[in-house]
Amino acid sequence: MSRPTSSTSAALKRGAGALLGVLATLLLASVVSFVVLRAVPGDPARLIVGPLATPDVLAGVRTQLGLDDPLWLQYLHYLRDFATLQWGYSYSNGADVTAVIAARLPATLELALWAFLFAVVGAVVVATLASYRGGALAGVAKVVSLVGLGTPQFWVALVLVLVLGSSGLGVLPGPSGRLTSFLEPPPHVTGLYTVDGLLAGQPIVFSDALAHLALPAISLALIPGAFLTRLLTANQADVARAPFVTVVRSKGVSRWAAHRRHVLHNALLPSLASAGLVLASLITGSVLVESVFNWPGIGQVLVQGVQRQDFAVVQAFVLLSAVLYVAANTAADAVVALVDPRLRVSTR
Amino acid sequence: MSAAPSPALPALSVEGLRVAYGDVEVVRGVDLVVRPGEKVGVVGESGCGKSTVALALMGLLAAGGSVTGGAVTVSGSRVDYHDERALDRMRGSQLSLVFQDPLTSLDPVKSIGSQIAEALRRHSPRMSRAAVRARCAELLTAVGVPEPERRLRQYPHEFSGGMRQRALIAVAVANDPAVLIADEPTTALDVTTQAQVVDLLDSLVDGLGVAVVLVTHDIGLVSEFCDRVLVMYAGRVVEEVPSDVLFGGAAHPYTRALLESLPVPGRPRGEDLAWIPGAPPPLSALPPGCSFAPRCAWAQPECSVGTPPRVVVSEPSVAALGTALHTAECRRALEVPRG
Amino acid sequence: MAEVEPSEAAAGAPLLRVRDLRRSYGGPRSYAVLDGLSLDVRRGETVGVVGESGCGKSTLARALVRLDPVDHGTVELDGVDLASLRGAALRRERRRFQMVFQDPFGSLDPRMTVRQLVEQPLAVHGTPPHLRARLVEEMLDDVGLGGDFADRLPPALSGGQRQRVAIARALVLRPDITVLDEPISALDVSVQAQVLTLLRREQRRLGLTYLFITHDLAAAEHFCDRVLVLYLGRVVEVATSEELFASPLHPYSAALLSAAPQPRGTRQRERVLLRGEPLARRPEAGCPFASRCPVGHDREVCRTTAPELVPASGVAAGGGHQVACHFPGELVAQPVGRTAAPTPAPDAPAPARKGVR
Repeated sequence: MSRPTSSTSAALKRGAGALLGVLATLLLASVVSFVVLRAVPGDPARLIVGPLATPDVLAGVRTQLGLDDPLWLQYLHYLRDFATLQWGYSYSNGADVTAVIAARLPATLELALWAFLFAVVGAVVVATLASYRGGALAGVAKVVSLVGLGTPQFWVALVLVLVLGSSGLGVLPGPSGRLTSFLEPPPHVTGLYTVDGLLAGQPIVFSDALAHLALPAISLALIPGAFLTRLLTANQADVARAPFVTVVRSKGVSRWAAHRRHVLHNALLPSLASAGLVLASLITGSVLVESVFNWPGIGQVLVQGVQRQDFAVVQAFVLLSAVLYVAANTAADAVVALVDPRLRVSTR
Repeated sequence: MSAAPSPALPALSVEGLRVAYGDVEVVRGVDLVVRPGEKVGVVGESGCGKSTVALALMGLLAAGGSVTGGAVTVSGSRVDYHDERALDRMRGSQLSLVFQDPLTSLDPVKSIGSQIAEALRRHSPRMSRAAVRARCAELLTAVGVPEPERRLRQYPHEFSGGMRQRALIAVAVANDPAVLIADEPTTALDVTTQAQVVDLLDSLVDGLGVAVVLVTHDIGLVSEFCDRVLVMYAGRVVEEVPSDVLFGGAAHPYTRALLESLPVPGRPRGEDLAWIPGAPPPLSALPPGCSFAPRCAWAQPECSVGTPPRVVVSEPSVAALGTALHTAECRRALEVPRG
Repeated sequence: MAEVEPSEAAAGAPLLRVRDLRRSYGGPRSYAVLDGLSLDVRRGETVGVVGESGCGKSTLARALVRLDPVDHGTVELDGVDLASLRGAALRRERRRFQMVFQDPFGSLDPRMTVRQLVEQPLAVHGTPPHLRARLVEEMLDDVGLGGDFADRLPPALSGGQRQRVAIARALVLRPDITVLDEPISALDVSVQAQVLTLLRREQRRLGLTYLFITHDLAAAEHFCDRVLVLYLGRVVEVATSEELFASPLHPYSAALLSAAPQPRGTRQRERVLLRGEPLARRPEAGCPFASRCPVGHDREVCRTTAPELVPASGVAAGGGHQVACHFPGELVAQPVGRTAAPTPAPDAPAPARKGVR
C-alpha cells in the first residue's frame, strides 16, 4: 500500500546517497590514477628536457611542473586543474591536452554511440526472437553470442576490413578515417559528423560518415552486443515463466502481444543499468578498434601518451574515463528509477 | 450480463479430458459439467492433476504439455485447442482465470488500470478511452476496492495481497465470462482476507450468474463454497459428490481418508488424526487397476485388475434437478461405511 | 506492558519464560514487530502461537532460538537468562532449544544421507560416537525412516519425509523445548496429519515441550494445550485450546475463528468479516486492532487507549484466560441459527449484488 508521506523524504535520501556514492567513486578514481602514475618508473621532467640537459635545467623544470611539491599538494593541484579543465601540456610535445582531447573526443563519441545503437538494437532483436521462437533459433543465438563474447575485438576488426573493407570486397570504406577525403566535414555543431551532416542538410555527408563508421562500429559493438543478447535472453526466459504472463494470456492476449508488451518490457528494465556501463566501456574502450581503422579519436592519443610516458595525457584520460563511467552509471540508474514504477518517486 | 443461456445448456462441459506432458499422462479422462451460476470444486493433493485441468481448459498448459483427448464445450460451442486465434478470442471473454498467487499474477511494471483495460480492449477494441476508464473504475468498485479512480493509477506493489486478488478478479470478470476458473485463489492469503475474497466470489456468482470452478487443496473451503465437489487422485476424478453430503457421506476410500486426516473443529483433542500410508504413485508408473489400491484399507485383490467401475452412490433427489448426482470410482463404494 | 503470570503459583516455575520481548525493524521510521511480548511455557506443554502474516510469530520463533537479536526483553530457560550466556555455556543451552522450519529443504545438506543428517547434531554437540548409532537408529525408526530410507539423500525424499528428517534431527538431541515454525504448512493434508501425529507421539514418549507457531487454527486447536493469539506484535488473547475455540473473547480471535472455512453443515458460528485492509504496522495510539474491529472501530476508548492483557472476568477461573480488549466477549461469533448481527460492511463499498454492467 502507498505511504505518501514517506515517499518524498525517502526519495531525497536516496538521491543524496547516490550523490555521495558518485563523489566517493570519483575521489577514489582520482587517487588511484594519481598514485599509479606517480609510482611507475620514469621522470617526466627528464622526458621534457631530454637526456642531455644539465641538472640545473632539470631541477628548474621539476619546480615548474610542481614535481618537488609534497605529494598531497600535487594531488590537490591535480584535482583543481582537472576540475577547471586545465589538463596541462603534453610532456612530449607541449600541446594543450584539453584542446587535444576536445578535438578528438567527438570522433570517439560518435563511434561509441553508433556502436551502442548497433549493440542494443541487435541484442533486443536477436534476444526477443530467440526467446519468443525458442528451439533451433535460440540455440543458434546462444552459440553466436558465446562466440561473440570470446572473439578478440581487433581480430574481428581485421577480418571485417579484409573481407568487406577496401582491401577486400570493397563494400564499405575503411580503414580510412571518418570521411572520404574529398568531402569537407560538416559545419561544427556537435562534432558528430552524422548528426552535423543531417543538421546541415547534407545527406551525402551523413551517408558517407555512416559508411565509414559501419565497420569500426560493428567491430566495437560485437562483444557488448553479445553480452546484452545473453543478458536479455536470460531475462526474457525468466520473465516468460512468471505467473502474470499466464494471467495476461488468460485475458485473450496473443502470445506475441503478451511477449512484446509484458515479457520484453519487464526484461528490459534490469538490463538498463548494464546498458549504461556498456556505453561507458564503448567510449573508453575503443583504443584497439581506433588503431585498426585509423580513427582519429582519443584512443590514439592515449596510445601515444602511454608510449611516451606522457603523464598529463594519460592522467587526463584515466580521470575522464572514470567520470564517464560514473556519469553513464548514474544516468542509467536515474533512467531505471524513472521508468520502473517500483522505484519511481510517488507523487501522490 | 450476457443473455441468460437456457438452463439446460451447461456453461462448461468437459468429457474425457486427457493431458500429457511428453509421454506421461497427468490427466487421465476427466468429466466435468458446470451449469450457469453453479460453483463446482476440484480438490486433491499436490500432483493429482487439478491445476493441470485448470490450465488445460484455458489452453494455457506449460511448454511440453498438450491436450491429448476429450471434448470441451463452453456455452454450447466446442473448443478447438489447436486453433490459437479462436482460443485467444475465447479466453477472457467466455472462460477466464483467477490464478494462485496474487503477488506474482500482476505485471509489476504496469498500472492496475492498464491491466484491467487490457482485458477490455482485447475483446471490445472499439471501446473509447473514456468508456474503458469508466468501466475499469466500475469493475474495481464491484470487487470492493475503494477509491477506484486513484487505485487504477497505482501499481501492484502499492496493493495489499487481498486487494491484488480483488483486482485480478476484476480482470477475470471484465468481459462477463460464462465460467470463472479459480486456481487456489485464496491459498496465498491470510484467513481473514480469504474470507473476504470468498465472500466476493459468492456475490459475483449471485450478481453475474457466472459459473465458478474452484480448484484447491482446501477441502473445508470447497465444501463451504461449492455446490458440488470433484475429488481427484492420480489424474482421475475418483468421486463426485454434492458438498452437503461430503463430510457425512463420502464414499470413495481416498476421500474418506482425506477427511479423516483433517483436524476439523469439534474433533476431540488428543485423538490422533488418521493419515494415508505411503505416497501417491508417480504418474509415469501407475499401478495396475485402481491407482489408490496400494494405499487403500479396503482394497481387495480384484482392485488391482482392470479399471474400477464408476458407481452411482445416490440418485439425485427430484428437488435437486439433476445437479446432485453422487458417484465414486470404486468397486466397493457402497460397502465403505459412511456417516 | 504489564507482566503477566499465567497462574504461575499453581503450576510452578515455567520451563520457558519470555518477558517483554521487543524488536523493531526499519531504521529511524522503525515499527515494532514484537511489541512487549510475554509468554510462559511449562514443561510437557504444547503452546500454540497463531496469527496472520505480519503478526510477528516468525520473528518470535527466530528470536527465541537466537537466530535474530531482540532490542529488549528476556528469554529464560529454567531460570537461566539466555542472553547472559557465552561460548560453551551457550552451546549447551542451544542443545536444549531446537527448531523445525516450514520447509526443511534448505537446511538439509543434499549430499548427506538421512542417517548422517540425523547423526550430525549429535556429533556437533559432542555425543560420543559409540552412543550415537543407537540413538540415531532409534530416532529413525520412530519417525518411520528406518531401513533403506536411512541411506537415501534428501533430493530423493518427498516433502513429508524431509520434514520427518528435520524433526528427527531436532528431537534426537532430546531438547527441552522445540520451536515448531509452521512445520506442516508446506505439506499436503494427509501428510500434515502424519507429521502432527508423529510429533505428538514423540512428545508423549520423550516428555517434550513444544512451541507451535502456525496460521492454521484447526491444527492449533487439535494440537495445542494453550494458544496465544498474536496481532501486530502483541498477544491479544491467551487461553486453553478448548476455551479459546469455544468462546473467544477478543474480537480478532472471534473473526479469525469464524473466517476459517468450515464444511457445510458443520458451521458453528456466523462469519465475522473484518473491516478494511490489514495494517502493516500498529497505529500510534489506541488498540492496534481498532481500525478493523467490528466492536471498537467507532469507540473513543479503543481509538485512544491500548488495552492491557488482563485475566478475563466472568470466565471459569483457573484456566488462565487472558484478553487485551476493552470490550471482551462482546463479539462472540454468533452460533448459527440465532439471528446474527449483520456482518459489518467493510470500508469498501459493498460488492455489487446485481450485474456489474
